Amino acid sequence: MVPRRLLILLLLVSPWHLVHAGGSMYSANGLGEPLVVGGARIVGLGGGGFALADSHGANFSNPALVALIPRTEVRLGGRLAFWSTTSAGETDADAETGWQAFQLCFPLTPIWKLGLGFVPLRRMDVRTFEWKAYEYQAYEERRRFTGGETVAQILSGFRFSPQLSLGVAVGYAFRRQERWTTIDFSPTDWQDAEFHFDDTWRGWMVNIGALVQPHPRLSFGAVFRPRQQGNWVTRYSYANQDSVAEEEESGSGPGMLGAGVAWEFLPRWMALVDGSVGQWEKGDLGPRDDRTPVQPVWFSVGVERLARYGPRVSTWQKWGYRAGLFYRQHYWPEQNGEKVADIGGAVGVSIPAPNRAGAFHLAAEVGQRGSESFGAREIFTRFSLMIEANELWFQRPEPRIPK
Amino acid sequence: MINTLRQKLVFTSLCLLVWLAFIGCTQRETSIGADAAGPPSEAQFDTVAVACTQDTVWHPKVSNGLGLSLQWGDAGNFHAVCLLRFLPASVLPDSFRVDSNRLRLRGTATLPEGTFAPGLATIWLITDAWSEDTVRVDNMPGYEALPLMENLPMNAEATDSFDVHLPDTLVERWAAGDTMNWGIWIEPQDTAEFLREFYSGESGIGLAPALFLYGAQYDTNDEGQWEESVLDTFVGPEDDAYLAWDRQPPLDGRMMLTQGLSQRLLLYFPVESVLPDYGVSVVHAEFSIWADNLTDANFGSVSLFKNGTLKTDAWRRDLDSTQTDQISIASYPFDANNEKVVFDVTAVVSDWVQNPETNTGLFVAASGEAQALGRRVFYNRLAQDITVVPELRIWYLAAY
Repeated sequence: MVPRRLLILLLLVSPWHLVHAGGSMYSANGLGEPLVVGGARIVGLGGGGFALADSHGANFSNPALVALIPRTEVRLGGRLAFWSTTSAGETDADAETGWQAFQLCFPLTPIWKLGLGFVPLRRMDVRTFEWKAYEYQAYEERRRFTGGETVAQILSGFRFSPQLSLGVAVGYAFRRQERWTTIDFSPTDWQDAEFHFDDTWRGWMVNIGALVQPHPRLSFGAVFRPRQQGNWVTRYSYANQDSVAEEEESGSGPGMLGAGVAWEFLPRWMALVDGSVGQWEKGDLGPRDDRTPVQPVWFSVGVERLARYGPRVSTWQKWGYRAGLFYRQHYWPEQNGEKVADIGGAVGVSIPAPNRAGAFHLAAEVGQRGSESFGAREIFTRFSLMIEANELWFQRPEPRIPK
Repeated sequence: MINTLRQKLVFTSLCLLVWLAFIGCTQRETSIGADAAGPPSEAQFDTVAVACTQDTVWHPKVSNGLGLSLQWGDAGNFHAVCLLRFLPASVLPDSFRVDSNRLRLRGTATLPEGTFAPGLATIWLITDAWSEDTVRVDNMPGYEALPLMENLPMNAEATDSFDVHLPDTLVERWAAGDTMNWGIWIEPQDTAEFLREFYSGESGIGLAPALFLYGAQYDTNDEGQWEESVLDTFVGPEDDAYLAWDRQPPLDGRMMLTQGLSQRLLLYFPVESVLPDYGVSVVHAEFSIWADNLTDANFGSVSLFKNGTLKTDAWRRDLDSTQTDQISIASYPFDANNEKVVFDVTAVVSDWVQNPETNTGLFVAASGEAQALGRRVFYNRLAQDITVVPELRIWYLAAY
């Protein structure tokens, strides 16, 4: 039975890796488009959940929440996004897919829980083109941006008491921003040129989290990520040169401080308020990008009806429902005195797997990003899916001994 | 059949996979939003002006014998003589008698324009072998010590023909197939103060120089008897060319390009020392030279110029090594004010940037190099006015 279940998982995960297209036009700035970390349940709540004191699709960007898992749990997630971009009265569309989480958590002792995971923090995959003219000739400038940031991390959560949990996540972060610029002159070919930059950053990342529950229905959570140190390695080739140059220099990465509150205001009804601010400095955008980033501010509110289980509970009551609103001011540098911000709403649902072997979390976000005066106004619609499987999937059935 | 929940789950997952694969391939097909994408482009355009560090005048050893004109006269510090060789035996029957002859050169232009006073010409009998393909001043044939004919009037009217009756004995000898027939040399006497341009043998029948022959020819009739008929025919030149000497003294800060004498300009621009040594793509390159229109050394009508490059840069050390070592590119006229010639050398300079060892320099020549004599004076790199020195301007693309 186990191989078939794993096959199903692979089938579900594979399309996220097979299909790549373009995403937000803004994502090509700096290190990519910041992703909501924590999975589809968190997306449906608007992107917060730092104080979500249960194990069901919790936001492990606060490592203290790992302390709440009762058993082995694995998460796989992906997302599909549609972008409708408007500029100068014209509109065009694009779509992208991407993975969202791969995480395994398990208890070591009743108070010490461990997590291992690969978490995408940012992503970019955009292609643009533009016709331009330079004195003597018209040319098409094609630009392609790929990359993002992924952190491989180990999370430790300690539940010291029902009122206090602390956690720490130590991760090794990989950032990559690869850019191609192709100048295609018309009608000649021999003048065409391509510039290629491949910046890779490696450095340690630490998240320190806390969860305080003064009352069973009220919890406060906070997470702090100090600024990071690491090294940029830049490989580049210019124009029509065959050789590739390489440079290495030390660099830094942004920090973050987030906090949230969750309140069960009615039985099985939760309300959440979350916020976070980033700590970005000049130079964080890349080794050759001297623009000044904006300090990002994210704010979200969400409400959730938790799932209910029991022998006399209907199927619909076993599902969890949620909705949220969000405002996200991003780190991308200002242009024309404007900052890029998202504003939108999200809805989500959690569907339990048979035999309580896990859950499917689904979420949809609709929002608007940027403005035409900045360069483009984008309407995005994003769907997220996360599969959460508990340890039943990894247990070998007892062999049936014939009588 | 799909019955169990698990089967439904697998079926739904497969449908989802196909759906995602289909819609995930949506691509943006316009440039909408390009302004919001990423940092400013790494590709930046820039312009650099490269100064000439070496220039010289080059006299390639080429003959103008295949050109469309013949030159004769003295003007503008040029001295030009015509060389003609006819082989009348090739057009005559087996039996004939030449009673008279006439040499005709058809005129096409006179320089300076407006000259009316006629000049005088002298004809010499050439004594050495020569060919229009190879004859030049440095290998010109010799001629007899005494002139064949003297004081022949040469009208200055542009379209007048030069007609002369050559000694009959000479033409009879040519008609008989004299193997020592090397033709004649027509030279201006001191009184000529103009240049006449004639059509050459390459101009076609009717315009080309011709030697008309008059007399009688004999052939057998139907009854096998000798029968006399009138001989009235002409023969074009087997070889025709002109030789010219440029007696113009050099001018400070100037370089002179001539037409008819194949006097070219050679220039070197150290592109590799000016442009970044990595990651440059040449978008456009222009090479400009400015003419000195105030000097009297300008002569004739030379308004179309061709540029080229050389196979090696040996000319920078040994000018004689440049012989026939050139690659012609394209022709360009003067600008609207007749002050400057601008050559598009984008392809050449792009190659220099990619392969600096191919920067062997540029040459400039008159497009009609074998045509009528003419001279244009240009400023060289030592000109006092730095705004008119030769310049190579490059528009290039580089990454920051």
